[in-house]
Amino acid sequence: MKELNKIAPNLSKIKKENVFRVPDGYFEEFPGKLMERIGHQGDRQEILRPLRRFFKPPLAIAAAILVFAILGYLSIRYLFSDGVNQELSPQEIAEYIEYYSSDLDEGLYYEVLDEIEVDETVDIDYEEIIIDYLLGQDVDYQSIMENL
Amino acid sequence: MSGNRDKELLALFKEKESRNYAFNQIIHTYQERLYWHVRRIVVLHEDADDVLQNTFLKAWNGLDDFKEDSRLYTWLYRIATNEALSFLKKKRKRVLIPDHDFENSVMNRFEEGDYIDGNEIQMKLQKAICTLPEKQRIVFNMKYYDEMKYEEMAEILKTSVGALKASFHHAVKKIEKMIQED
Repeated sequence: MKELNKIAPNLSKIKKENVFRVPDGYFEEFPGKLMERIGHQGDRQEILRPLRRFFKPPLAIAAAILVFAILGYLSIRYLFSDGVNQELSPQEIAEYIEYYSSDLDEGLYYEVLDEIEVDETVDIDYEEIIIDYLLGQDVDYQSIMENL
Repeated sequence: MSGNRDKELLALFKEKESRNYAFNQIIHTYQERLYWHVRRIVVLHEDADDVLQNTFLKAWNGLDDFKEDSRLYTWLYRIATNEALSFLKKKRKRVLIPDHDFENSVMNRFEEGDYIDGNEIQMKLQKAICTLPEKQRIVFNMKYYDEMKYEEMAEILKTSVGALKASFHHAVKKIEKMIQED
């Protein structure tokens, strides 16, 4: 990796070694252990298959009844509603904001802002965010690296 | 493993009589490479073992639907990566670790884990790797240890080659700085 020598001379001097170990015989035993688990999974499916076949039609009917009941309830509620829950028009919303905004004063905004705590311990990697953004804008990777 | 051998095994897997034999061969072929990839993400052996088992179980259940437009190895690698990441995510939720503290918790796993052994400089390097954000750590490991091509990594991680190059470059610079500081 020529690139590594250039940008990280200290890292490229370190010999590439695997520091992780596995228990003795792990890779020899793993396929057998896994095939056994797959076998059990198969057995369970064999047991569940007839049960599923048996319960599937009643469950489907119960689900259909439930769906009809919910739809019926919602339709009745809609038909007999007194209009309180109906959506407000944009004009009504604008009038509402205009009416109540006169009650708010500037001091209240600042009080609320003071109560918001900013977590300064979070380390945000701005450089990475900028790189991701520029790459998203199809800016050439090489020129990003040269200019950073 | 050659693409032809993969095709042979996939054909054998589709036959009921040779299904187990074919899958056993697939495990034998890919288990070590996938294990080391997963182990570098989750750090502890017990967790890597769980993730590897789940990876192959998912592969067993999904192999019938595997479209041969990507290589079997790349497909398995993608399952393993996703499994390892969702494993860490679940673990993080279970022990209520905030996202920005997670690098420290990976480092703790490294310090407390069994089956980890290396000289001083190797341990220093591993600790530096542990401080990288999760995505950068995976990219660094795949490039540095697995010596994967960016194109292959892009297929596995579903991201662009440019973004991967930037991520690796960034990771290397951070590690170099940490090594220099010590």
